[in-house]
Amino acid sequence: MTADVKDSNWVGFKLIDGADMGDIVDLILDDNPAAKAELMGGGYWELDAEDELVVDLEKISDLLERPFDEKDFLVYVSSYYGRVSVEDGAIRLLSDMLMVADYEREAVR
Amino acid sequence: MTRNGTGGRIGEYERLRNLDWEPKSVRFEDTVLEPTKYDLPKHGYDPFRLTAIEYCAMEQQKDNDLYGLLEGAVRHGAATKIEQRFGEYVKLVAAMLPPAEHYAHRTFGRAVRSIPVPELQAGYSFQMLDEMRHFQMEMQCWNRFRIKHNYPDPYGFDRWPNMWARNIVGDVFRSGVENFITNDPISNLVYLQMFGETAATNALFVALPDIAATNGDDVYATCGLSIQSDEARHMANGYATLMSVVEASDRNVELLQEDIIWAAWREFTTFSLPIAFVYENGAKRRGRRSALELWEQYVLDQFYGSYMGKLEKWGLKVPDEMIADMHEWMRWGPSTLGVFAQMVWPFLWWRQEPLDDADFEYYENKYPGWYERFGVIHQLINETSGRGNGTLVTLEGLGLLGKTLQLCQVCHMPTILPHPMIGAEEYRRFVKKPGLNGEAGETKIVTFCSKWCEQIYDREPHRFQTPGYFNHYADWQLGDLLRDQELIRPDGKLIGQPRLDTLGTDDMWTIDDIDAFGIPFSMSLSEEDLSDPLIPHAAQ
Repeated sequence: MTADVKDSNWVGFKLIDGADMGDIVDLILDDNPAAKAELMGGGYWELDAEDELVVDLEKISDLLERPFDEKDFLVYVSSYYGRVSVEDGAIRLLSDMLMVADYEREAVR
Repeated sequence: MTRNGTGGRIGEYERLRNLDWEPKSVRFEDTVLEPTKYDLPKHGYDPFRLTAIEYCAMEQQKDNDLYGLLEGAVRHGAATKIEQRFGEYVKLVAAMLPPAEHYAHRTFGRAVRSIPVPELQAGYSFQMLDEMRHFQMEMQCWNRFRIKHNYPDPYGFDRWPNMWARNIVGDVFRSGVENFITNDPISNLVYLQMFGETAATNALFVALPDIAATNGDDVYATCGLSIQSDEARHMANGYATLMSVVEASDRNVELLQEDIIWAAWREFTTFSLPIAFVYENGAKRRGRRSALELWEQYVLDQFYGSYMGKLEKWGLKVPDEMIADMHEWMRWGPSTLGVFAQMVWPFLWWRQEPLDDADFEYYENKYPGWYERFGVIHQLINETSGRGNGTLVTLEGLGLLGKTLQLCQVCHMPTILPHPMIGAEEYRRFVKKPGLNGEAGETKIVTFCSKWCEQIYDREPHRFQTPGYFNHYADWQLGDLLRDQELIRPDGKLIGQPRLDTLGTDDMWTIDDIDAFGIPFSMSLSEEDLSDPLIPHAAQ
């Protein structure tokens, strides 16, 4: 690393704001107590956490009282950083570098 | 191969992976359009585990959301309410991005047929469709919406094919975007996915929408965020490509390192720096964060810190010195490019506006020392922007800069970065190089913004032999140059403008005003110029 670049284990999403997104962000913050979120002027949320950030899609579905799966969430994922894994009922961001063999395991972590 | 379970999303994706087969009706090598220099694995992985049926549903929802907003924007006259300083800069973005999407579309058609790794091919196929979706969205939301629905000055939103092709600023972007399609198929993706999409698009499609919304352009903002939601998947495609080739062979790592050094600098001059220029110079109402602060957060921390830094264990690294140069250029470069754009306003197709006291306060607050560096220059720009003032800022600027102002033969940026009179001489290089098309021993003068572009030239000089803008138009009358570039409006008189407040008045500049100056445009360097101490450059 250099004077300009610091090694970082932070990961995060940029989520498009909308009718349900504030509630969804609150739920994600409940599940990831160390995460932080901020609504930006352009109408998107910056949601960041150190090492790992997990989005529990089943809990979101219960919250919204309608089916809400991975593709529904990805409609609102404007960007992310970290290594992503889209799994059964969850989307996970990890700071670790994941290789093909990691993805082929039952769960990436 | 499969170690995952059989149910749910993961199980379904693994089931589809196992449907891969080797055709018997055609030789495998005949199915590959063109070979890559990289060794390829038999299989890769898509971190999104996306299937076509999910992809289609997802994109349909995104389009429903976007075009619903567009309908509402038309009904409430949104195009009339855009802050015009920003609206005019959208003419630049809307001329540059749609052709880039088309180039990317072609890249992924080529990638599908040249990189025979099934999991990667699936991701490339979806991305190929995404790029065409983006082209259509941008043409609808950035160009047609404003032309058809009462933007105050729609001229310029219809200029994209010509301005992309050969304009003095269009050259910067087009030359960079041609790297999407003119290299090894994997090298293209290192540049496009790993650097362009992962490092730069957050600024383009997340930060610029922030400024757009602040300046009353919600259609631009929503369009950008919707595009970026596809870019998120493209970042994963880039990561999938990277981990596939890193694992395939040690030789690949050496090839990757060469491509990373090239791609990092070309990304910076093609995307990060021009995006920051638009972010700062297009804003009338300012955002909370400066372009420099956003670049430090999105690129230095989130790309170089949390991604590139972790590749060092494989020996993959962008040189520290290059990152330090990027940082310095990002501090002053957007303002320098702003001065350059104001100086060459007749060569451009959108209207600009001299900076005011609020701008000076913003810049000095966000970039301490800014006023000392740029304040006087902007006073000159303001004083010379009125029609009939007796001079033209282009001539005044050329008088001050002389032949220190050249255009880089690789990235086409002006050789006045990071600041025209402070530090640029330490970066720019004007040198003689062997000519490739003439007789043995023949040399030609080549101009570079920096040693990084000179290194790119030296790696593949045959790519950069076309005469540059200054050589092409050497000794032309300025007015004739504008006619040749088709920069005159349909009325046959009006041209680009240095002020916003003259729209619809007799104070707008015309081609007759430019012709009246009658001075030939002569910027080409001679051999004597190379050692002239009044033309300082690093190669001396």
